[in-house]
Amino acid sequence: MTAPNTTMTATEAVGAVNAVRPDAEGATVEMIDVVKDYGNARALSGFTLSMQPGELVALLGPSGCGKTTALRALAGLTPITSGTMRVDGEAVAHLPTNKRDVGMVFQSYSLFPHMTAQDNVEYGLRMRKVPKAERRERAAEMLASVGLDELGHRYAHELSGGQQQRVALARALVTRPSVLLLDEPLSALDAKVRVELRELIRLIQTELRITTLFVTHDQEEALAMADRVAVMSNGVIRQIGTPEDLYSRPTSAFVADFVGLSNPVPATLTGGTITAYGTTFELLGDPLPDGPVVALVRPEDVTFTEDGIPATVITSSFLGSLRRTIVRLDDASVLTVQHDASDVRFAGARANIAFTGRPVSARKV
Amino acid sequence: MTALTDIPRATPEAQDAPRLPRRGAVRHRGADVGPSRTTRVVVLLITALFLGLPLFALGAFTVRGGLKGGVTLSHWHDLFGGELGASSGPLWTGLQNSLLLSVVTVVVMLALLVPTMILVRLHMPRLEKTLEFVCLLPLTIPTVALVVGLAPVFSVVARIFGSGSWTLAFAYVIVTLPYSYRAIQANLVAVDVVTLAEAARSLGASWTATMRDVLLPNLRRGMLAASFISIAVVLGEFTIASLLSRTNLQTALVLVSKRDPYVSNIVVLMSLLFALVLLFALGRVGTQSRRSRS
Amino acid sequence: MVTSGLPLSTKAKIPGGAALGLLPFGAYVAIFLAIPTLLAVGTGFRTKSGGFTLDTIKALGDPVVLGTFWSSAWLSALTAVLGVTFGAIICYALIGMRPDGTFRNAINAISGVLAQFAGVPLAFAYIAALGLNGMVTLFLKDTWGINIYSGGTWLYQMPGLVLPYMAFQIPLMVIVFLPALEALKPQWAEANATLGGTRFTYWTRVGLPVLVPSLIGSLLLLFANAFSAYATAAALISQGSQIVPLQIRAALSSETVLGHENLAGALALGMILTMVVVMSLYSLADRRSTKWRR
Repeated sequence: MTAPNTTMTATEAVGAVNAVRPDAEGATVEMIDVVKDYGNARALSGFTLSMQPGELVALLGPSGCGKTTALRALAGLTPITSGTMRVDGEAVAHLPTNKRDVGMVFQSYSLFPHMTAQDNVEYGLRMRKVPKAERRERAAEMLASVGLDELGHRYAHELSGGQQQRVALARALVTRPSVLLLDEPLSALDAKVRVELRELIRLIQTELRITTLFVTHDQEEALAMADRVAVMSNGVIRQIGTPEDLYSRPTSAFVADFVGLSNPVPATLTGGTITAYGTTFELLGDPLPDGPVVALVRPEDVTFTEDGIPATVITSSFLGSLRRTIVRLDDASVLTVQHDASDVRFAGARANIAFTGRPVSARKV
Repeated sequence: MTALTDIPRATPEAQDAPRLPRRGAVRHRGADVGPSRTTRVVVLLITALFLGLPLFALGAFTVRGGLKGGVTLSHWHDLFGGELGASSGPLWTGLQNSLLLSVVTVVVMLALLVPTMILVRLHMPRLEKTLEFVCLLPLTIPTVALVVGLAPVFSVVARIFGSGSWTLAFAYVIVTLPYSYRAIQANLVAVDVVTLAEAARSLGASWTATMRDVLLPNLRRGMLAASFISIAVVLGEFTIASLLSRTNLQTALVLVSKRDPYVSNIVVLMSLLFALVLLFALGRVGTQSRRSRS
Repeated sequence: MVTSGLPLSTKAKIPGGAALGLLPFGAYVAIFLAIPTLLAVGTGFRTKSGGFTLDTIKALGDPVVLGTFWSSAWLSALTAVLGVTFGAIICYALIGMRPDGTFRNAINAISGVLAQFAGVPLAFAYIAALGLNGMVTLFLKDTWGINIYSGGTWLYQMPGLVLPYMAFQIPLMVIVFLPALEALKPQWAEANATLGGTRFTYWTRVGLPVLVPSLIGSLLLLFANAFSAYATAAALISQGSQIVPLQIRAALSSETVLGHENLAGALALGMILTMVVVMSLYSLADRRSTKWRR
């Protein structure tokens, strides 16, 4: 491989790295009925996931739901109690971590402190007995593709959090592993850096066509990055689908509640139809018995109208391209309305709201 | 092939299924870089042997019946049977002195160190580094070298306070300074006395009340740790007492050992055990308070 | 560590009073630490009649004295190197303990007792085991006819100090180094594994390199510890000046040492200078090792 003389753009660099295995497709990953017990506590209860080559799946869920356990199980850092795990059809459950072809990025502190960024990135290649010159070249290219081409000589404590995670990413990817595993890599970073890095990860992952599993508790992150999102609770996947699927067609109140904002509205369910404030909605997801329910209405499904249900504005927040206004209905219920930023509302003003009537999820009272 | 390498499933019916046999699967532990069980056991066993043998010999000696072997508790009886022979006298004096020294050292250390450290932390934070340096200085100045200069100081002390052994406590406070400082400082940092003091003052408390009701109760752990360590150090101190010709536990032991090795070895053994219990209890106090927080 | 900006009211309420509050501590340290140190060092420059002289300092160049310093140095160096080596192996065998578990607490207590407390008791224990009538001595003599004292009474002389010194050097190493070992981040071991490394590559490429400053620091600390140790040697060797602390003992008890009074002061100066150099290097190494722990 010829070394370029000019500084490459990120895309060029990634393309150059990709040139080594131009037709490489990502690996398929299967985790079937994986169970992990810690004594009497069950962290994973029959966790099942199938990943297509090159796709990015986000594991999303609250603390303790088992998402990190599932990731570490695939990495081999946590032995499993029972179940099957296959990468490209080959079983891996019996293999120690260093024999599984995975690249992993940790939440923090994972760079070797006594090595420069360049040395860190070369480490995996060194383990694979790649000759020195080639090692140096590939590591330098990888550092360039994450935007750190001038900083290879720096040590971890001389780099910012965001830069450290870029190095960690380069280090994990330079060996072209079959699977990329990311354990909440952005959680310890500032908001702005988080967004930058999010885009970088997505870009590289797509260019390299590497199958990626991404663990996060931040639903906005998951929805923005992933091809598919798997929402977990109590050791199992509750629903898996595209971000749109999860947002618009949640199959349970848990998912509807966890993904995106929702207004809990007291309503009545009769024969599959929900009625609240005179509006009817179709029920999404698993059926519920008739009777009183709590409907989960998205803020963008509540609108301001000329005449509708009377309400008083409590506060209004400006969010750039849209606004979220909190109103109190005359019966004391509180709703969040999401609307165009140009429609300015002031605290104390009266307004009328209505529902768009799009299908909603609901849970029992 | 996959069937052979899959880890067997637990039978779904068994709710409380027993642990699966791991004979088939390799016990890979991910990133375990620690020693194997064999290494651990071998190393610790050899260590226990090397460090424990002399102590065991000490114990064995105390029950030795004559040069040709045999086990007897007669030496223990001699000590506890109330026979205040020529041997037990100086030992008893030494022990008493050491206990008194411990008490005086702890009292003076706490009275001196705690207010000073609080004062510096609250009002003169820039002096904290200097205070640390001073308190850790005794680690750099060997006790045996310090004694050369302590003799003239103590002749002055003797004129004021008399020449009882208890005055050694003044020097002992310096000797225990590094350990006591560290114990109290760890506590100070952990409970953020600055914020506590500000809160108390803003609620109208006087300085006495702040110290008594807010600060000191939160420093109990550090003060206790400092006290325990000081006691252990004082009981084991030999250098200063010996070179200033005073009697404490350790000098008495050396003196008596020449005449009656049995009695002295018994007391040595007991003092070691006592120090062990002391430090172990200290550790428990530390972990208990840590556990109760979480 | 962030100290909050103190509200001006706190300082204003006690103007200058804060500095006054430091007086007790400052005076105490001056009287019992600063003055003795200065006196100790100063007597090296004075004749018996009180005049200034450099003769006593020059006496440090005497071959006997130099020989003593050399003995102290190699004893300290030897026990430091051995202590670091064996201590590190023991620490490795102890990896993986729960930080507030009973076992860890026990290890802390035992190391603490052996390292800080056991000067005289340790000497007694070694005499009981390896002395002329020691358990091991008699066992070897009776069982296999080996007389370990056929070459001379080594336990009561210089070479005999090595073993008892190890008994407090190794525990000190454990106290100092185990925290450094435990501060190695688990992420490094996990990253090593995901990158294809083995236990061996982890230790050779990551673990040990990161620990080098700690190891050097520990080496220096152990050297300083052995160099300034007095009690064990004094209890084992009743007469003689084989190492510097014992030579100070001899000088203080007015045994004629080269006809130089105040030699103790000069020796103290020599000891303190050595310690200052070693401890300065230690604090440098210590600072480096914590830089990476962040």
